[in-house]
Amino acid sequence: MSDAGDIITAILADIAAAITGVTTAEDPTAVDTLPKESLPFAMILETDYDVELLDWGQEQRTWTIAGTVVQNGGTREAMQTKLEAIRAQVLADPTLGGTVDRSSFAGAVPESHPDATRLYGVFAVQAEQVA
Amino acid sequence: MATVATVQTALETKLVANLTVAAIISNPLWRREAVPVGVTRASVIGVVAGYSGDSNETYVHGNYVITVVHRLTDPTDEDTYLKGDMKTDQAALMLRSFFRSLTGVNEVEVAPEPDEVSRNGNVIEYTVTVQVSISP
Repeated sequence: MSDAGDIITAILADIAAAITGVTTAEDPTAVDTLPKESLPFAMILETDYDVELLDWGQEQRTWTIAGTVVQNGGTREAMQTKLEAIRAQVLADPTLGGTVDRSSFAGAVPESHPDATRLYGVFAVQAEQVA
Repeated sequence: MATVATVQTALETKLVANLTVAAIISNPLWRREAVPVGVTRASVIGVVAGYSGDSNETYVHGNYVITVVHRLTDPTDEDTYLKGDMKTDQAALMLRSFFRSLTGVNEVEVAPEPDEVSRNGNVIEYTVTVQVSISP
């Protein structure tokens, strides 16, 4: 049975491979006050875990891991490109290093104030395993 | 004298001997029994389904529902199993001769009929139903 920690480690490794110079964190961090030298920054915001009983003594486990990516200024298109790069990394190995059966990725760039100095992107990875 | 039960035993033996079935499911709460990874198991439910007769004899009919389950080794092996072992097993189960040759069977009264293949998690499942008349 896979451990949520292993799955999160695999996702953070995908993010590190996707975005050059990114700093990653496993826990939510107060990103508004991070020094800009730490940007771009990616963190795991929230995790959710669900188990469903199937026939034949099987269990279907679903992990939903949501996170945020922060960049210093720049454009929304640049943030979208970062999210697409993470998507490509995750889909290149949907088993997340053999920890799950399959995974999917969704990301979006929410609206921001035109004068905002930091841009945010949100993403979620849903991983499933039947055991 | 053959009975619905003795024919069922013969059928179970033949399923293990001739198909990729490793063993017959023995647990009466069979849906709770986890099938080991990469293994095929079968269960047979046999019931008396009426009788037919001629001037010579009365033949009791036995209706048998054979359920075959296979647990995939890897979730992506579905294609390999469906196109390989499953097809071989189903082809054997579709022949009247498979059932006619069982000890105690007089004739196949209702030809073997398959049901849809379904997948639940990593377990692939399908059934075949057949009705035979039992030799008195």
